[in-house]
Amino acid sequence: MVLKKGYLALESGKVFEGTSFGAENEACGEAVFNTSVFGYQEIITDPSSFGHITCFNHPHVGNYGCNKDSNESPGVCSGGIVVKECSAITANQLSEFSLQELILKNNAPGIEGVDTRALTKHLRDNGSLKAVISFLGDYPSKLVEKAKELKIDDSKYIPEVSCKEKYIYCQGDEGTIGVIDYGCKSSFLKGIASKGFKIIVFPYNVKASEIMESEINGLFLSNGPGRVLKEMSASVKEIIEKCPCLPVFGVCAGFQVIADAYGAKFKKHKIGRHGANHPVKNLETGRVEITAQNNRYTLDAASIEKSKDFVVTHINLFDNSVQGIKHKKLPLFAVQYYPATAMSETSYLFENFFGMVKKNA
Amino acid sequence: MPKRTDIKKILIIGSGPIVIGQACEFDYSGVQAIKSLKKEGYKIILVNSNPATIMTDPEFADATYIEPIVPEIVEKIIEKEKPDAILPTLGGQTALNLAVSLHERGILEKHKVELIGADFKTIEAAEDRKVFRKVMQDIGMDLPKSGYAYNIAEAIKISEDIGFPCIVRPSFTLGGVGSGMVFTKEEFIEIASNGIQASPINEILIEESVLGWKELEMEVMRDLADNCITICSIENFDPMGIHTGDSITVAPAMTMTSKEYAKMRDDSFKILRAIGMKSGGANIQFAIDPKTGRQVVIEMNPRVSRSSALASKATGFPIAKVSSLLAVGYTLDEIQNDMTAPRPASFEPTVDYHVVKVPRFAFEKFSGASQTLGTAMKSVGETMALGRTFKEALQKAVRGLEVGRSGYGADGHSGDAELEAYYDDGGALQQKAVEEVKYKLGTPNCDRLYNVRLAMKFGMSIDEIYDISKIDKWFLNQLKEILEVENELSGVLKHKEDKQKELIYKAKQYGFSDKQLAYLTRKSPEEIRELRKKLGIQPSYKLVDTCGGEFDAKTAYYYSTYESEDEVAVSKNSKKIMILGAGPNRIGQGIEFDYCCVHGVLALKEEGYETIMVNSNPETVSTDYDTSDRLYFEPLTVEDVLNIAEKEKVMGVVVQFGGQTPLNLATELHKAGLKILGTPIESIDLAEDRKLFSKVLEKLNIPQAQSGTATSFKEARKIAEEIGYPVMVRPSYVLGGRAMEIVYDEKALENYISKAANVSPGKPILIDKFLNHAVEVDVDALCDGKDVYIAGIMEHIEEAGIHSGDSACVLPANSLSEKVLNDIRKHTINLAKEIGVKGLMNIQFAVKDGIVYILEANPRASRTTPYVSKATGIALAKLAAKIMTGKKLSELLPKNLLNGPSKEVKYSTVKEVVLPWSRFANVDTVLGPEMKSTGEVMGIDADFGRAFAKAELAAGSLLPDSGAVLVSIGPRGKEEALSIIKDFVALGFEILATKHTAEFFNASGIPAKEVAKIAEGRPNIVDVITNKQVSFIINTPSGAKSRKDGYQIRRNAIMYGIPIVTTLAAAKASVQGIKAKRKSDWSVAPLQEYYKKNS
Repeated sequence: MVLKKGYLALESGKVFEGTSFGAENEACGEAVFNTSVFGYQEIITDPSSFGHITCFNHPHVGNYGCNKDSNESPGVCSGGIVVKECSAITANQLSEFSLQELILKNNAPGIEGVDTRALTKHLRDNGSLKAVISFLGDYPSKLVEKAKELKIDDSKYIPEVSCKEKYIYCQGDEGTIGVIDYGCKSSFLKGIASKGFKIIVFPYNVKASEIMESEINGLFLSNGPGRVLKEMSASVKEIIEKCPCLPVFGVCAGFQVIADAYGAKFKKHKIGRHGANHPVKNLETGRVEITAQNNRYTLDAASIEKSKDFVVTHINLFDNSVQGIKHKKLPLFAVQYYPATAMSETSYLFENFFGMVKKNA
Repeated sequence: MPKRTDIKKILIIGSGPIVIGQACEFDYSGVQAIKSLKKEGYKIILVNSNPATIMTDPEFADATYIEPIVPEIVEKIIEKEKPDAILPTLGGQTALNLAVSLHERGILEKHKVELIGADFKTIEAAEDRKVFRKVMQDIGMDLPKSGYAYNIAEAIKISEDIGFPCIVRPSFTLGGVGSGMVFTKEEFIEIASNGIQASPINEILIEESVLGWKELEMEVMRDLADNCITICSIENFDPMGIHTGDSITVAPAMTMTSKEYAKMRDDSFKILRAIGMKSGGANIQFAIDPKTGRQVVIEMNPRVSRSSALASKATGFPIAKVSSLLAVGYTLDEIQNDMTAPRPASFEPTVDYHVVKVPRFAFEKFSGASQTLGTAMKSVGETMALGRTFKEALQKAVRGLEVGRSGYGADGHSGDAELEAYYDDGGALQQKAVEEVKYKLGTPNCDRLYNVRLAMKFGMSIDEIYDISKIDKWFLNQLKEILEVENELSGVLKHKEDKQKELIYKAKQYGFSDKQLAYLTRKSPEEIRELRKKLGIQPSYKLVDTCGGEFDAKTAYYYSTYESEDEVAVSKNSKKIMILGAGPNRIGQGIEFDYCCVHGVLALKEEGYETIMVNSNPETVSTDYDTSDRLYFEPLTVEDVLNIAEKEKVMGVVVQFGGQTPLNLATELHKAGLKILGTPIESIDLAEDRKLFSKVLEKLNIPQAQSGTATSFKEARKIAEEIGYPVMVRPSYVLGGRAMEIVYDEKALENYISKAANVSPGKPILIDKFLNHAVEVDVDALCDGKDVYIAGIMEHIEEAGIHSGDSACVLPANSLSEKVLNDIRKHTINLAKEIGVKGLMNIQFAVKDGIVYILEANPRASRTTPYVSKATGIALAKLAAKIMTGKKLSELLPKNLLNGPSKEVKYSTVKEVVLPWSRFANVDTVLGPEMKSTGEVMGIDADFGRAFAKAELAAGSLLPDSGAVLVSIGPRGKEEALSIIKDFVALGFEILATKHTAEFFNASGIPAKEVAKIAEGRPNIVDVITNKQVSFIINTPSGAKSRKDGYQIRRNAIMYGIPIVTTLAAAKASVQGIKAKRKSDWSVAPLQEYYKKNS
């Protein structure tokens, strides 16, 4: 079998040659590395990966195949996938289709044979770079030009991945949780549903009034890609002010929305945090949690302290950034990483939230 | 939490001698513990009976006790040192067992010593399978079905509930001794009864079989604030049913989904908490049913382990160091990760490469031992390799194993030439070959990788191979991909240059060595190397950094691969020396050589050199990232070593410290233009080439045993007749006494030659006069070309003819006359100078009738180098390294020590060996010219008797104080035995002996009771052993007639744990030991105190 050759070209001028294991087309985006060994399917179907060319630095990807249950959204959100080696076979009883099949079906290109460590180090040193994966036969130099010329506007990402209309995800008798979908991972919805809550999912641009009319007992602000929009934080602020008793929990983009609503500032992180091994210290308990992350912005610590309404609850021990905040009076809290809905040392966050919701039901 | 200030003095327990299941990894963990805790200001007391360890270097701990690791001795140390705490989690099972004994005997409570890291409750919960099971069930863990039995009737009842196959595991045995998989009721009854016997509490666990399931391990840590992290997941290539120590293992796990992994991780933390592991690293084993995904817990080790050493080397995360700091109260987030400082240790390492560990076996040493791998560990060492893919790492690991393979096949060594020929023949034979390979896949042994290869070559599909072998299809597919590239390679040179380049580059990425490429293309490895360079295909070196490249790392720990970027910033420093390690442990080459390598590194650093370490053994201190300036974790082959040397532009390479491994590379490295430091290559040849060596001896007038070389039985017979029987025979090429035998008559010689022809076709047989009843002497010496320092003259306790590595010895020598000693000194000095040794040299002599014969000389570090260093307080390997840089002995040592007697010591030290008999059922335990021991201990005390008694105790055999001695001696030794037996009688022992021996003793005035031989009915000699009616056994091998009885005596003695000696010399030493022990109770002192006596 002759494998189709192609390139990953970066705006820095660096080019990696490889062969195709997905759609033999072209994709653009920001090259972002992910250090996680497990979870390739979840990562590329995570809406927070929208706009990314996802580079896995662990060399063996695709080993255990894929299954429907592990999709974080209906399809692949990463623009393209970069690996050292994509397994030719799937070796797990749960596998329903291969990684190759998954990305082909979603028409996303995948390039293998890349020195992903060299790529990771390049991105680490230069920051995430605009990138093109192409199997269309163009010269590398042309692809580099293309990467340079790419216009990236990450404020458009959330509108792309959010649902367009409100819908009821499931019924339940423990109370109703409203979810604002900035690009919500399916596993959050499944996790909430498994506890018996009714879930109403709203699009990112939902009006505060519409949520308030929905008789919810708690509001979950989901994860999502890129930059959050002012209109998002404005409507969340309005809800909080009008319904001060409503428990509100934000993760990832939801964290940014809440902080933004209170005037905090964010700066784009050089490479972002993408992996499953970030240590986060819970300042209230002193415990360290190992967290999964897929985010690009850093909260300006001084700006949240200035608001005086919040206490910082979590700090990332890799870069000392603020990754958890809690309102001093209101049932309002958020973390920037991905808390688990079950198992794991981070599931207490959802448990706390669920407790608040039940009280409010 | 800050560190504890209420404890000031900590006792660290080592793991004792190297045995199967417990190797250098605990030296590595102990060294890390001592270094890190000392840095924190704690006073460190160490006890470890193994003198070959780096941790027992007097400069590490504040007080170093080379004493037996048994409660009665350790209590003395506690009384003397009054430590506040004991850290028992770094010395393997030995340390945990000791901690349990200390607790149970009330010693901890009496002396108010606290166990840190893991306390008694934790150890009990993890080690006592019953408690463990209960704890697991309480937290909702799934376990294989099981039940406990204390007698065979109970056992049978449980097995009926569970069904076959099932597993029998005796409680509290080391490394799974006595456990086994059982398929039938008959088998069950045998293994269960043996298991009940083997268990110190006569208890066995009968478990549902998870045979063929996937085996996974989690390396996890917890701190006192209850933070838990995973360091590494490990997946076994081999399915459940093969001990993880005997399995090929990989990191990270490859075939689990992220959800399965998340569950396993979460379960691991629950287990840590439920078992009550207070702080430090632990290892948890799981099995997964590949059909259903059902995950069950197998076991948990509340301590650092072989796997954690592997995980440390695989990720760069120093588990033992961090465990030690956690034990004194720090939390993970208060400890820095050395590699990515200032970032903390409270994170989970991630890797951007793949790691493969392959075990090394020594079945060739133990004829009669079953080679099928099972639930009891049999391997003696391991090698680890890193590569960007499994394929690359596996091929590197296979060549790093140093078993003559250059990779996964394609090296001219067929897995099974006969089978391949059958297959190629076609027809009925082909079918036979396929059936045979199927059988082999189902009974895995150390060649299983090659059986898979053969099966693939025979056209079996991955599914078919999986169905029999249960090796996960992912791994099988990777192996298949290697084969596919191999098939592309044979015609590679016919292609145009760019295609050649593409294919060879791909082959290198798949881990193919130059030797494999040479074999496939019918070129020489040198030609391939040239071609590769011409095509611009060079390895790139990548960093192990714990973080997958996310952060800039500060350490220099590298592995080679073939990728686009090389990360090594080569220094301009011209004072740069490469030290070659000893590779995987094997019988004959183990921790002693790692000790020498580490010392070499330390000394070269002291002298201002940049040090570059190359080694492939993950258990070692030499492969710790902060031992050398730069560490290359690579196979020790000419190709891999040259690549590094050329990359780093080293000024020279040290080949003296890593045993035979680097010495075997020396000639080719020298030919390739690399400078060999220390003893030059010509001198090495002078010592290794028999003819040249003989000439040197003649010139120096040093007596040597008569010898000759024969290529046929006729020639051999002639030579043997000339020099007279008995003769020592061996094939010419072997190491470590492999296939060496003592032959007493012509018939035996003929027999040997016919066997040897199989061992090495066309190679000559070496025949030496065997010096019967000679005393063997080992000498370690240093020479700088001008002066000689005789470091130690060790007198063997076993006579010549028993491999020096299997013989106990005493230093200083206690029975040699001053004249003999002087002759030994004279010969040593003359030989070292004549050969031109620059560095270390070891010489073996045999002394008979006052004449000192030379047996052999090795111009390199020896197995005894660390022992002599510990016994005398002079660190030989360090001095040798300094000599290699041009320093003179006269600058390094006081003049009065040169060219004369060794440094005088005012105490006695005895080195004793440990043998792996209990691991190999059905193997006879007689010692001979082929080395079989795995490790050693040292006893040190005021006189020989006491030192010997301590050495025996440390080696696991407590000399009895009273009882009966069973004596079974061949016709040659009866007369000689008389005085020894008299001593036993004088000490109040009863003597039991077989008819003729008893009659002989009685006639000589020694009261001896007659015991029947096996053939003479019952009760017989075996019954008195199994009934534990004897407390000591003297059994010397005798003629073939009673060999069966001898065999039964020896095997049963091992099974029932009764001290046994197989030579009269050892019996004599034992009497002295018993006498000495009678006189007064044990006393203990640290090395530091002994050394003061000498100065």
